[in-house]
Amino acid sequence: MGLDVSEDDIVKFAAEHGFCTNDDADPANNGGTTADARAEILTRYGIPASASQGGSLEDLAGNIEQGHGVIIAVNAGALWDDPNYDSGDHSNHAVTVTGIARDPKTGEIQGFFINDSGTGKAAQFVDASLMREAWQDVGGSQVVTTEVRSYNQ
Amino acid sequence: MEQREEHAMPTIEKKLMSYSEIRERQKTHMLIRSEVPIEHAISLPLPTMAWGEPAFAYFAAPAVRRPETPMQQGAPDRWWVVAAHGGRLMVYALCKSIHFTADAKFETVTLPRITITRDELRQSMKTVEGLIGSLAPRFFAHEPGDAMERKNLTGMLNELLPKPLQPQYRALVPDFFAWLEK
Repeated sequence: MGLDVSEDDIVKFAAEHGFCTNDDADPANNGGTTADARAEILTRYGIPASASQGGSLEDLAGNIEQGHGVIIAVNAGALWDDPNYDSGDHSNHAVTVTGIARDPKTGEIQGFFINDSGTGKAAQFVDASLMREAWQDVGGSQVVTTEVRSYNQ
Repeated sequence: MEQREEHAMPTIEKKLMSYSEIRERQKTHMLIRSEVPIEHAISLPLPTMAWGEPAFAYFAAPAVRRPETPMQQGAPDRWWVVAAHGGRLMVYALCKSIHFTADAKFETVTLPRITITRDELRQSMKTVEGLIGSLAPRFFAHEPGDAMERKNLTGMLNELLPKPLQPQYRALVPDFFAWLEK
């Protein structure tokens, strides 16, 4: 799975179709998307996806292990350990989950790997406890692609 | 006539949702999923009687968050009200269509840095939530409530709500602030 499309293309598409906010005079305040809108953008680009809430760490792990693409909604303050960005009991930032680590003996989830556009970091490890706090405890929202990646492509 | 009276629903006293239930419901409310952009900052819900029955009002505003950078928050661009009985949505509007106040014009603000730890912030928020949880039923019942609790909540809101955002909160629920500060 993968499309040759630029971020600008997607932003333009989202703005034109009302999938992101676009009417603030300050451009920095534009571009916000909802979980449903993110799923719709992916779907319209030929990557069917759906949004759900109330997910558990095992739900998330299962989606990653099966090869689905996943974007989750987190509390940035918890993820970055910074009270300035802590929204308490709801999410305020989206990150992509790219991998999962399990204890090889017990199968217990040790953590996940994420790409975070807020920090610019890729393959950042987030342990299970932090993921529970930053994601599950604030609603467990995820946008999941219907299809799975084929690593043989 | 007798048959109709037998099947008539008896009057049932409505139960207020607790403040913690209201907050919990917010996490997965369909409004959050389908209408409020994830990056938006969502206000603390505050009590109001402005909509015909006990309710909690919120506003949301675009926000820019980058580590090590002061948080910027735009003017509220949407607001909503949920019923304190049952949590159903009563009002939702974009500010460009119907604003929650005709009296003020809000701009993008830079929020002051928070200097306490996350744990300290959470503890303070828990205290605020406890006070709102205790006072909201009194406010809804048009009772004065405990004067010390009102004073404590006033003080904590002044301390915890970022100064640049306080006018927005006051404009959202002027009736609650008037009651609180009486």
